[in-house]
Amino acid sequence: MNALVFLWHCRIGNAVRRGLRNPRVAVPGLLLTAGVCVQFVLFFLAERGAAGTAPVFSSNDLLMGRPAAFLLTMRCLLLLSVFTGLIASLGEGAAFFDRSDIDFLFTAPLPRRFVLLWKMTGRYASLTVPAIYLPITFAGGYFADVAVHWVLFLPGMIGAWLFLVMIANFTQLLLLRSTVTPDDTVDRDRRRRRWRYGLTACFTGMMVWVMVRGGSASDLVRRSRDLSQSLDGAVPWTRLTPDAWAADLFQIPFEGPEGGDGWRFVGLLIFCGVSFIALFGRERDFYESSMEIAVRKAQVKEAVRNGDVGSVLSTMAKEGQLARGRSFPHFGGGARAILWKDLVAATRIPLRNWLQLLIPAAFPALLGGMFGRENGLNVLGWTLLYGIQMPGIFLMTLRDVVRRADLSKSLPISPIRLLGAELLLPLLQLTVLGWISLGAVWVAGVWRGPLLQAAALILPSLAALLFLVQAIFVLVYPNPTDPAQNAVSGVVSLGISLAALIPALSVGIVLFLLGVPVLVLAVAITAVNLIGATAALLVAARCWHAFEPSD
Amino acid sequence: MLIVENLTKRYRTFTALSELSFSVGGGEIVGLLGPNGAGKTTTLRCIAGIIRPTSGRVLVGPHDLSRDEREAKRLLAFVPEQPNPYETLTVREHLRFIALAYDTNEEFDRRADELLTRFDLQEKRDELVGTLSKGMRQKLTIACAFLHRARVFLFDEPLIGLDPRGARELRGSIVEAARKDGAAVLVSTHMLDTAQNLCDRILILRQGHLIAEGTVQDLRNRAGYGGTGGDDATLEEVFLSLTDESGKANPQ
Repeated sequence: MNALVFLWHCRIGNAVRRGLRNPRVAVPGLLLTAGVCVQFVLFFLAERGAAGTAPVFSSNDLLMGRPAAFLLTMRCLLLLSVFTGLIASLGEGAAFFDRSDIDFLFTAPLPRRFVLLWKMTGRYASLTVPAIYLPITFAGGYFADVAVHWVLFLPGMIGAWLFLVMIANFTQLLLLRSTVTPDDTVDRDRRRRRWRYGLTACFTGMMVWVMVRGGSASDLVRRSRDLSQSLDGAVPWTRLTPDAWAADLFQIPFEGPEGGDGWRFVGLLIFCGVSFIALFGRERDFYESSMEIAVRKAQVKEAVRNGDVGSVLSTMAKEGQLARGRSFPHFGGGARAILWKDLVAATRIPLRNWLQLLIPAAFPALLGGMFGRENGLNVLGWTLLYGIQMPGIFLMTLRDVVRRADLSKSLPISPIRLLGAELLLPLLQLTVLGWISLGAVWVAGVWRGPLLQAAALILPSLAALLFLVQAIFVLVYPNPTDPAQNAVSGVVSLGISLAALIPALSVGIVLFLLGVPVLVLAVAITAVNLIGATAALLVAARCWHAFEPSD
Repeated sequence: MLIVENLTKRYRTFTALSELSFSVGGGEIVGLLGPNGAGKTTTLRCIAGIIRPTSGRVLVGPHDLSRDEREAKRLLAFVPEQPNPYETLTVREHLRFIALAYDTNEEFDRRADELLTRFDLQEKRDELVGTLSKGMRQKLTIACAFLHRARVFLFDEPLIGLDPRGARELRGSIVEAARKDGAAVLVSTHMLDTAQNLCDRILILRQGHLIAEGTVQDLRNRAGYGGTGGDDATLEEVFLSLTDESGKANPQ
């Protein structure tokens, strides 16, 4: 056991030290930490200022008397964790032994139970984050209330944690049961994939149903509550399930503790214990199944982290997932050859992979359906967020270029042309996806005002700006296998992306206030965005010129 | 020291290993050869306790691997084909971790320094494993195997990725472990000249079956190279002859 503790201690310690030694990681990381601390202090000061020196908790103040909606949300989220856990266990998301573990832990004279417990302990610890995060986040604007009165929420948080641990144990068990072995990889994998797609389709169907039914969020909560209450009344055992017990423990801040709470804890503990015994009862079997899945997962994970599109595609090809695709006649040398190469490669991606991208694209329309058709600005907010987040997916192409820098940099093509050619196709894909997203908003009738047309006009230049700004960060933080560098580059690039939007937003607001027609406003914003995008491309080209593969 | 009896590994309809039986004595170096997919890595993984055989038994010293797994593993050292050491540990921390895992923390400093020097890792001792080249990682993995004074060594393609000096050091270490310390060594390799020079005996697998076993001369005889003029046949010629399913390469 000493060895496992030592391993843990060294890995965490080294990751922190490595981060602190690297100014590109340390400085933004410290700024971020300081920002979060300041935010917390402000929350607490505001709370004390509002309630005097001795804050008095009142359930009426908290959540404006909406405990029912809060409890229902908690229960839905806990049930959602079952759903996502199931999908994860049918995929490879729940496999967590890596290849180093297989080579060094599986061969070491350590009891298998210890090895499994060591890994599961890490997972149990990580589950405290959602257990704490869920009630705080979904208390809506009453973050400060929950943060200050966290002690009252503690039983609910512990209950949620026990529930999540139970689900983690059972999903891990299911994963080990369904793990592929070399002889039946294709068949079983195909079955697992079908189940996964089926479950995802169910979930998407539910969301679409919510969207089609429309109505406001309060209507939705009311309808769901009615449904839940009628179900509980007609089928009393639904109140006797662990998710109901865990959710009920969140009642304590509103109604105070009651006798049944103790039994709910006992029930959750028993279920948790049963799941623990069920998982650890299989300790003799898990090495082999873990190995099979870990090796495959490691290959895909490494490829994705490296942005190695080639490896991802070759893994897909091995598993028979890659389409035959098309071959186009080439249309010129130099940078055009790069564009031709990317175009041909894009046709090898199966249609279902492209379709998966439609799920996030459909979110603005779904969100509009849930939160009211009249409120287009919510959709606009989401579209912006989506525009900032989505380029990450398409930047994999650039990561692949960076990874093959030995080859790419030796090509007789100027940096600006090379980058432009490599980024053109993903930029087009991002733009088309954005248009599909806006089209869904229009079709669903969520928002059909002139701003939608303006958004459609602005989208290409907006995508170019955000995409090229984030491309700079791929070149400045080229090591995607370094988690610290990865996380910080994500945060910093998000901040800079938001900052890059300021000129266009300022111009837009000024022109809007001046009563300029929407079309003119869109053209003006496009022009500002294009100036920003050109500047970003120049900076990115300079970064690429200075980039050395050994970085 | 290592006895494998009727080892079978079956994956539903596919038999990866079929009734494999052999032994490796103390002080002996045995080569495990075979074409791709013959079952060499599966054999080593079964012996290392990573995967469980469908039937059969593995004895490491006096310990049955299936019944007395921990004690058997204490005597084993496995070097996989692809080096995958923990990237977020330093080289020295990695060695310390292995020493702790095998409960051989005594004399760690002396032993670790000796191995770091032998495998040319002394300058890298405080560097993170993640910053090492593939060859260096391979050397570290090998150093880990020699750290706890195992009695049975299992090497899966150990020379791939090593520079000439590293390869020579490893060959020297393998010979030293066998001849001086009396350990049993099983080496899976495609490098037939190395196998010919290094190994006392050779096992040849094909499609999960042990098709030939013995010294190089035994294999020559088996392949029909025995007698006048046949003693010069290289292991490569013998191997190709024995593993050729069409029989065209067989001089008989």
